[in-house]
Amino acid sequence: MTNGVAPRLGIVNGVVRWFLTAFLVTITAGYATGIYFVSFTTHSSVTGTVHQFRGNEDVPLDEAREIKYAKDTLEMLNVIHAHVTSFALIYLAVGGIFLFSSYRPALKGLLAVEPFAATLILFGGMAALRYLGSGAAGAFAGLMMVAGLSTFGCFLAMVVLSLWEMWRPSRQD
Amino acid sequence: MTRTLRLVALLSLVLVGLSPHQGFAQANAAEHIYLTREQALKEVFPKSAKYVSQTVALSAAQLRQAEHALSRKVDEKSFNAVLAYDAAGKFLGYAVVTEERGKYRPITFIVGIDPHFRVAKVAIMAYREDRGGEVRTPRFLYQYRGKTADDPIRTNADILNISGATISVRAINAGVKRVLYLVTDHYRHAAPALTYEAGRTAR
Repeated sequence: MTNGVAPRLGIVNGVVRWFLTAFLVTITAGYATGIYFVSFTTHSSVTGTVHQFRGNEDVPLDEAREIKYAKDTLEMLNVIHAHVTSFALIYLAVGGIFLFSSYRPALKGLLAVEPFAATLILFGGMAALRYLGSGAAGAFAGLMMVAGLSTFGCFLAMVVLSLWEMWRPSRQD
Repeated sequence: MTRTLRLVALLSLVLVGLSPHQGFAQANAAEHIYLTREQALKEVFPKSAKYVSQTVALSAAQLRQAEHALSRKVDEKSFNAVLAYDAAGKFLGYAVVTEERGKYRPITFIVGIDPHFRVAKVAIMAYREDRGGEVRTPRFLYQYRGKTADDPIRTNADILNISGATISVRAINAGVKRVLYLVTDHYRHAAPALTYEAGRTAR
């Protein structure tokens, strides 16, 4: 059972192995930087996430750390289209590499496909948080956090498992 | 070969289409005029009814002193201050229309300063950038009220930043600080007429 992909990750060598490793390390650095940035804009909290997209006009100035206004439709479209497109390409590349590993097909399928669904939930939740009633904003922010964590979890798992398969000491070179 | 070139061209077009349209958006950024000069004067001094316009020339020494105090380059060789009076002729304060460069284009705004050299009100008159127009909101501008030339007027020191409008916030900070310094420095040595009379002003 190989999920239609020959498990070649464990036998790649030379330039190809270094090329794939460089890509995985670099894209992880980029992804981690993005998450670090998000931790600044949302303070990694439900309230912070709600304020990021709906503004914090309900917070008195002397209690606010920054003034935020509800994002306008152009900003929302810009953020959503850029992120959904780039996430799809990131998971195409990382998932594509991971599918060449020798792990169980069910695990490969789950980790490679889940981030696409989570991405749609994450940015669908973002649009819902911004445009649907304020009463449900906290719930949508929570949904975004869960979806965001699951995309990152899958990403990290695929990167670590792929690197392990390429560089594990016991592999046959 | 031709097919390959066509494919590369098509992919390039798709990638250009996917990229954020900052450059195009900036080229299309509209100029928003919010207040005329007369409206702006009424905005910062609602009770004002009479005005005296004064052009204050800055000597080379004053310019150097201003640049040293503000830690920045000061380009103007003079500035225009409007002394505002109410209908009864009572002096309300100074108003200066000024400009600071945002990310690409100048932001035009008015700074109203009370007779004790504290900011009475700041109002945005024209905004020309594609992003950052939130600096004209009362919630943000309220922060300048009461500031003096001795206050830092700096983001995260005594002025809260606006998410997504950082450069515009810095521009308004710099402009308010510059106007406060110039008005305070000049008029504390040359106090204006405290009452207005038709045809002349009396000290």
